[in-house]
Amino acid sequence: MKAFDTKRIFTDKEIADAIKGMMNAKNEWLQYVQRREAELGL
Amino acid sequence: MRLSAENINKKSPYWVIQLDDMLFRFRTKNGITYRVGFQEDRYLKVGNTYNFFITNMDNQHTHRDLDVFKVVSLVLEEFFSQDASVMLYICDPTDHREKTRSLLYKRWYNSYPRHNELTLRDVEIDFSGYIVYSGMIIRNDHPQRDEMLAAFDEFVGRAPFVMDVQPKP
Repeated sequence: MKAFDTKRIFTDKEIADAIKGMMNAKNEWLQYVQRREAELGL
Repeated sequence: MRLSAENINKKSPYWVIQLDDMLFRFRTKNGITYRVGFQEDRYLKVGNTYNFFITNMDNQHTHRDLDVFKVVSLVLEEFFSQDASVMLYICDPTDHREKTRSLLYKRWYNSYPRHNELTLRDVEIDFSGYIVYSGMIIRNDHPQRDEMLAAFDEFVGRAPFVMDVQPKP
């Protein structure tokens, strides 16, 4: 975890990766929900 | 972290089924099934934060059901009853109802009896005219509250200058 006592916490790459990840996060979660329901036989 | 459907069901107008530590499902009087829950954030990486999600996987358009709001409120309250809870959300823009969703988070926060114990930071990230609604809700007694809000603010402030996001066709 980055130290919080620096003004610049994120690199540009980290921000770009975070944006891409966050925009796809719900799709990932939906896939997880479907897998979990399949495991439970729902 | 594990949330408890048993706690939620003490007051829930709909019966909530627990699918996993932080995943729930419930069915409304109109026959709509919702899944709601949290997933540990892997993107912002500022500490133990969780993304909140809710879905009506049947994609049925429904009349406003206040009991759905009540169930979601109870799920959020159960989450924030845990120590050091930090929640992130990003409002799904795929059906153009993202602004309505953003207002629901504010409405939940304002209606939560103990909202003075939380900080809601809701934001609009402007990617060259394409607005993404997002937010962080954090307990005020979180030992790194100020740092986490600062990190979120930095991310939100710099995001539009780092890359462009366009709506999916």
